[in-house]
Amino acid sequence: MINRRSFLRKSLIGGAGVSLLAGLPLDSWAEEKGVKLTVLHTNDTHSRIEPFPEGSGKLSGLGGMAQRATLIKKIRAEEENVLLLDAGDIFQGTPYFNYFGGELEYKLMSEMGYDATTLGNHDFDNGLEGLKKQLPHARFDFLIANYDFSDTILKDNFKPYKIFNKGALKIGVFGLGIELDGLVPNVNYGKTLYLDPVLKAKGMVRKLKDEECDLIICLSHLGYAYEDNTISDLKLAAKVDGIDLIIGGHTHTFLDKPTVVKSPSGNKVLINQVGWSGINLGRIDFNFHRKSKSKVTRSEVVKVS
Amino acid sequence: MWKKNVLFLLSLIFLFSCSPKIKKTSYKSNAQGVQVNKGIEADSAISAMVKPYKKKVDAEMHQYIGKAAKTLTVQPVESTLGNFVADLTQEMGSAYLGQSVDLGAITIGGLRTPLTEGPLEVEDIFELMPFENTIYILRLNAQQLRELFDYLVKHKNLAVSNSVVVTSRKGEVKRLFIGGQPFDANRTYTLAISDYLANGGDKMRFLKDAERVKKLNVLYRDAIIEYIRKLDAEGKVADAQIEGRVKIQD
Repeated sequence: MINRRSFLRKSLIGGAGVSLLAGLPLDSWAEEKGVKLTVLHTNDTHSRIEPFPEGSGKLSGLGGMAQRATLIKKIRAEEENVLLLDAGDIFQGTPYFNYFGGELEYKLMSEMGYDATTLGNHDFDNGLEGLKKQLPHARFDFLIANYDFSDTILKDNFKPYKIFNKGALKIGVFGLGIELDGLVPNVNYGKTLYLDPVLKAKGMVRKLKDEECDLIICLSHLGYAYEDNTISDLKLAAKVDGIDLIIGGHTHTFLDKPTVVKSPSGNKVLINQVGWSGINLGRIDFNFHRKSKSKVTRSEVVKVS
Repeated sequence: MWKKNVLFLLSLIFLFSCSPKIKKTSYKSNAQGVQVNKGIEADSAISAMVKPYKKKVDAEMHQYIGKAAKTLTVQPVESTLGNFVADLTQEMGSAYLGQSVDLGAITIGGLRTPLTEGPLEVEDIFELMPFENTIYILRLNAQQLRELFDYLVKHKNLAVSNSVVVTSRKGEVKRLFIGGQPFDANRTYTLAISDYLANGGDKMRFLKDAERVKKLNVLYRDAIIEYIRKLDAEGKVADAQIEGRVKIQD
């Protein structure tokens, strides 16, 4: 029934951050049982409510939100900690958007239990008012750190980041959007300000590290890669320290497996993107090994003395 | 002994308070995406939510609007589908404006699928033009009009109604006729075109500065649907020929 095509190869990527602890007397410290987190993700779903109709060439029969929901339910039944994320461009692409303006897309994503998305350029296709009108249908968060909506009707509707508590884990998620000028008609975004994604990402990482997040995920609608100097997920990963995973979008890139990029300090950053129209559901499992906090050790010290 | 222990523990505190923040967890990751397709059972809750919306969309999409005499397609320079849409853009632009417009134009990249011979439904026009474009009426001065036809000759992707352009092999515009009359540099010409192109899309930056006569309060797609319905009501079919709007002369 469930067609798990092997085009998305399994890949194991080594963890980071252990080396700092090497050589310290850790053996006596309590080590909790490992915790697993399953990140499921989509991008550029473009109002593809039903599978592509017959006559769509290679795409015929692919995608479909009811089918995606079945897969997600199955995974939720098997896994304890699931985070369901999207990287924007939910709107535009089928008559469902033309007739209902995105209402059904948001309702179905809410029903599937999406945790968060970011904003893509097509999410502005019916202007700020068109977007605002549909927000009541969404029971998930819109995370966007580098758009400033202060002077618009969408002021206070979005958050730059959110921390999700999954089991014993704290997962920090923030969002980044693409430059709107030249891509979206000005009347559609009005006084929305686009801010430097690299600077904002650095700020987000600092904030989420301060909050002691175990994993930092960036939902990005910047695009996977460009030939020119335009900021992309590949460039972002190479410029900003501390991001563990970038879930990308915009360029409709189908990746066989996540791309691994080294951050400035040499840590591995995963970048994944699953094409468009909900043809693939991305899945990345993280197996965490949690060490005792230094704080806990300190309180023990106080007791002894 | 006891003292020694305390010292050891104190040194631990020192070590931790001064060392850089240590990541308290490490992880290994394993990525495995899954293809979504219609072979997977549909979730009943989602299907039930889609149903009323689908009913309305299907009813709208499968409305008959008219017929195509033959399959109209796009190709570089001049094409049947390009001519068909450029012509109807001028005609519908004139109708909505309430006065005659000189030219209609469309880049063929904006026409996403052919119009297939035989009966046409609303859905066919959604596939032809999925985006929410509107139509602008622009007033072009002589310089802007020259740029429009220079663009046509250079990019070979622009269909323009009501005009014939004669170019050299090198791609220089030698002569230009609008409405059967030689181009007159002392007057302006009105052009019906999508908001996307009027705002400089597809590298038509020169249109950004053109005078805006009016932004029509109609979707481009709806104008196409209305035009084909009008043809059908008059007993006509959607059709266009390649008729030599762009001529190359030595």
